Amino acid sequence: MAPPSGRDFQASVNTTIDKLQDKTLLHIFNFLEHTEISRLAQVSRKWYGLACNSQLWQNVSFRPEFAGIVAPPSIDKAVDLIGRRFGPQLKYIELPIEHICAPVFHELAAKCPNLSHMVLDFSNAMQLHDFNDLNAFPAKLRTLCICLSDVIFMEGFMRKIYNFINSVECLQLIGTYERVTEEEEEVHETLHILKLKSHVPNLRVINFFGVKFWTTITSKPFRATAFTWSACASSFARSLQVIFEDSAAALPQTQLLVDGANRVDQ
Amino acid sequence: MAATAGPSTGSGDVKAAAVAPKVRLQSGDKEIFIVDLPVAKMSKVIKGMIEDLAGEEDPNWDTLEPIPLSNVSGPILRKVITWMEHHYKNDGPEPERPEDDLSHFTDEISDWDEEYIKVDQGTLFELILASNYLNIKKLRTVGCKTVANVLRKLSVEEIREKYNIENDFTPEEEEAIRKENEWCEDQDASK
Repeated sequence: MAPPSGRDFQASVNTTIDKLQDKTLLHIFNFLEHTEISRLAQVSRKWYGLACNSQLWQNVSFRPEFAGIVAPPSIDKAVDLIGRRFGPQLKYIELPIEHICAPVFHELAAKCPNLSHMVLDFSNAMQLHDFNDLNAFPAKLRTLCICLSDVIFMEGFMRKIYNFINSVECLQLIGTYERVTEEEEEVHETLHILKLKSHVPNLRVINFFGVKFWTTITSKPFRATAFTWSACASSFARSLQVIFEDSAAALPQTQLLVDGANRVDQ
Repeated sequence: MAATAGPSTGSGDVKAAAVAPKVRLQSGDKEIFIVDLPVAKMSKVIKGMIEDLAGEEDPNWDTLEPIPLSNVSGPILRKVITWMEHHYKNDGPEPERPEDDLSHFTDEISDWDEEYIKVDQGTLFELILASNYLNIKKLRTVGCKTVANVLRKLSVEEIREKYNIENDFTPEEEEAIRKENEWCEDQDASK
């Protein structure tokens, strides 16, 4: 038996959407995509105010290929959105290469004190923006995810941000292993893990995915309590094993999770 | 969940559950509904009122005053009770969830709920208001999601028309706001 339909009550037909409290309308907006919320902003002054409520903009991705919203057409536009729409509620942001630049970081640092998770996608990078004038960076990050490029030397960028990322607890490095087709391709050092280590004292979890090489072999324990890696080259895995064994000796609670380290390494 | 299971008839079917204590609920227009106690407690607000009324002792439910729900009309309360009875029977009491629980974003609307919520616009808003007032989170989510699913299919002009919302922007403001939001419109249209 189907549930009774509402057609038998007529008492309430005059109730309009205007009767709903702002809180309830926000709850409704919350079920919509950012592109849809941007459309609702154009309905009326009240709806514009609701659509700009920073509660709706706590988690923002500018990577449409990963279910995000399309990236703003200019850096100015991105900076404007960060200040006016995201504000203090912003907790999570994903930036594509074109918006990984000093003005965006400055605005995030100034307007979004609660930003705790950030994804920097360098994977399509051919070259980086100039970070010489970078003087601020989100300072309360707990998770930093870096999608590496196979043509960019990252250390120059990392050197600029080391001083700002000592709150990071979880570091995720997404490599390019799955995209490499040619043998003997020129290899760039991606991240200097040892240097990174001295700047992130709170680091507890490191996740690697598809990182294809590893040049920094150290005998010093790496003070992290969990390593995971998957789809990485076996030479990488072997190097990491060395570090891990030292870590495990120093920190017995260290967990090691290996998934598919050899599966993709034919 | 069995989508085919029909809801029971709202107010008290005495012989079906002679053992369960029943409470009387009074709508804003003074209609009385007799409801199984655990069903009524699906509403956090009714639950709170019952606990206040009953105190420590197990009260004599037959002599207890009806619980006044002045903000809900009889027809809407009947429909809300139908929802509570169905979900109590099929899912049990609503589990306590932490404030930051996000499962309501991913949970699908069940077939039964989808059929249940096929009501006219005014009733839909009344149900959302009632679920707010009575604090029945899951019903509120079903209602809000349903409105969201309608909104996502409509253009700005269609939304104004459907919900009788006045365009109170000046032409200059409207243009500015269109510009401010147009950067993601193409993506929106391509979906």
